[in-house]
Amino acid sequence: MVEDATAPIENVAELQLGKEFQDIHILSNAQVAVILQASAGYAVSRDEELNDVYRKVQRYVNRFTSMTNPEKEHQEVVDELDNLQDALSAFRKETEDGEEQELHPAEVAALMNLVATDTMVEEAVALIPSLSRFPEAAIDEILDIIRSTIIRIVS
Amino acid sequence: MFYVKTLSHEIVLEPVHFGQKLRATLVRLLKEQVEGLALANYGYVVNVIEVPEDQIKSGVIEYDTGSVIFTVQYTALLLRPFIHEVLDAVVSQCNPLGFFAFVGPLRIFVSKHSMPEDMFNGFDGEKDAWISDDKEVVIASGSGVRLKIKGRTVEQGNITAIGTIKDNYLGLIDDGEAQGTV
Repeated sequence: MVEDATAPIENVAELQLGKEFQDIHILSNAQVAVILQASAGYAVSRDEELNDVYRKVQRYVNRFTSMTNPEKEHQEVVDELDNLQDALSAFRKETEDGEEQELHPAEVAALMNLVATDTMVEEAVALIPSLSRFPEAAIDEILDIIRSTIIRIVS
Repeated sequence: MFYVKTLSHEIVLEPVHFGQKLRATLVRLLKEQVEGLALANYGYVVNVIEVPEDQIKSGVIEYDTGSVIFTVQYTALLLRPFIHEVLDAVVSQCNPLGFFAFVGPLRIFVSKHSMPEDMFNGFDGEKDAWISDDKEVVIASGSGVRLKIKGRTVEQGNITAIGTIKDNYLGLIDDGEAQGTV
């Protein structure tokens, strides 16, 4: 049964994930890579085979993470990623009405997955439409936080 | 999108497994049964992260068989395509109707109608690739593409999504040569 995309009960561009997904913890590719690495070590130590889905996901996250550096100390990269996620989750912007806006976990994960050092505001908003509720200056600030983390990890 | 959620699963344990290693057996069976499974609403279970000890409640004896049913709660790492999310994927196969790309175990199909105008007629049967009119963009097996999810279907234990590369900033990322085989 194909889900009707024209009548979205679910539409991540508007941050509507569906009622069953309100309390989930969303992860970026880089964080998934960290979890799988830990799990792989554990399984190997107990001489278990890693299943197919697991290996496919591991290949995928290892290929598509912009925030990795094989020459760096593993723990250092993990710490940088944790700091980045904390910084993004804690990002607050006051709107004109005096209300505070923050980033939804889905946006934080998408930002960590898709943004590179040369990503501009226009591209970020095209890829993650829900960001348009922030003023341009705020989005630039967010991209800057990510840019500096990528540079720190890769250099 | 990858996410973590607490799910529950029923495991039927035969009496031969009772004893000191009961919990360890339960965890092992849970992982065997659930990891890699495609749940219709929650997506692929990539990994069982944790099975909290206190969440394994007492089992119920099934009178007909003598086996015990345990309802186990566990935290799992799941992968599910959300509508309108943008993902990077690896192209696996091209055909005259479009191409297939994978995000881990998740298969995504992009039809030629969801490609930019200058690629609509670009299928090259000999090279097995989709090529744009100006020959600049070549999407072949192994290439990385950025696509947006438009829809999702579940069949026979596999989840297939429909994607598009027609919008701005979507499409070819890399040609996959630097990555080796996927």
